[in-house]
Amino acid sequence: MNNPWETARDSIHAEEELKEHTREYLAQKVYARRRRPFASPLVRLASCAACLVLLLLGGGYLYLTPTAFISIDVNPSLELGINRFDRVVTVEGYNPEGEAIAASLDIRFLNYQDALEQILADPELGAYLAENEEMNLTVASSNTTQGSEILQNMEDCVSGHENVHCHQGNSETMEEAHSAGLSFGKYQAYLILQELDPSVTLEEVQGLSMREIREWIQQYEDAGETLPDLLPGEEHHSESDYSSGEEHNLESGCSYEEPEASTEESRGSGEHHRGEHHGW
Amino acid sequence: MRSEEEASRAIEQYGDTVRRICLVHLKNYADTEDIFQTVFLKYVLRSAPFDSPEHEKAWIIRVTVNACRDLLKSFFRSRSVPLEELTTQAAEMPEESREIWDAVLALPPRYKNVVYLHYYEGYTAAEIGKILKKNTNTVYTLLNRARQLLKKDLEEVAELE
Repeated sequence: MNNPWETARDSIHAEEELKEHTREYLAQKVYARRRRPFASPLVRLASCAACLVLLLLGGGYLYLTPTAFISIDVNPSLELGINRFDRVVTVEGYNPEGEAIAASLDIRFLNYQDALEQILADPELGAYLAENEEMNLTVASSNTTQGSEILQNMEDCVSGHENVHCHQGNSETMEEAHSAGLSFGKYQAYLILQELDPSVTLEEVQGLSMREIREWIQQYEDAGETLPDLLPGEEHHSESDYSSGEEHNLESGCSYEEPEASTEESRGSGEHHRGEHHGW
Repeated sequence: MRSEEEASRAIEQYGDTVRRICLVHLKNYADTEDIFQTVFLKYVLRSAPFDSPEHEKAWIIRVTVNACRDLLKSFFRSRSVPLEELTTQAAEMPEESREIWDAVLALPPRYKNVVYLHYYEGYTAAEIGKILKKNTNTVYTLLNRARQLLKKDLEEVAELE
């Protein structure tokens, strides 16, 4: 039976090449490896983007979170937050003068040592120092390694300057200080003062310069009161830093004044009227 | 998902049918490769079993017809070389067959499927209706009109009917 339709049909076949290509295509697309779910390019792109965002956020958090604080107190009171990479990430003033200086500084993301140098070189701050004020640098960190290291470097950094003290404190007191609105260094001084005179208030202390606080404490000493025992959690040295004239050879404190000089200075400034503080 | 062996078997068994449907609708060889890949990929990815070999063949035909239609509708296609594919196998083809293919290819698109399935593959109008999701009467109508058009081209077809 010669059906021309059948003949016509049978004259067309799928080419071997065509079949082979199709088999290869399937082998590659389906059988080569198990397709993971969510292989669509859009989902892959979206998940890459999401991972990237998370990394950035995480990295940003790590980078921008301070792990140590350096408190700088003269009369102006400011605090630098240092991140785990030893860079300055926050600068905050704790009183109007401190805020003014904080605003004028551009030290963010500098290594803290460079930042300190810049601060020490700052003319406004220099003006305060020139008036025989003291500068107190206090470092506090929950990471004691970093804290000690910073202290060490701070000491080296300020070794050329007179009237600058370095201290170390702990982070719980640091938090108390922050919630009280004082920088750490000043808060430490306040605590000591409070032991001597419980009627002292935060507001009174806030406006004082470090030297004035020191003098205040000094007056109690001169009056024969014993200095308070170590406040809980305080480093041993911080008390003796506020007592004038005593040598101390505790490793983590540093004072660059000679005993006689400091005595002279505080006596000398005792006559230096500063208004209301001496009149109570 | 079907295995590589199943895919290979299907390609052997239905390759010719798919090829011919492509011939009827498409214009170039690259498109044919395209359709082959689409059809057999779908086959491999279909996990539901077929009721019978006839069911399987009908399914393949439907997928091929739809794929061709989608390809032709696709915006990015360049409608390029006409009738190139016929020439590749034209040399081996007897004269009569060649005339028949030419006549079918010259038909308007909506007749091509019914003509192919009825005359080349031997499906009844009812079966064609099921495959192409058309009403049986519609299929009859299409076949009649197609026959008239073909009659003009092919005197022998009219005689054979």
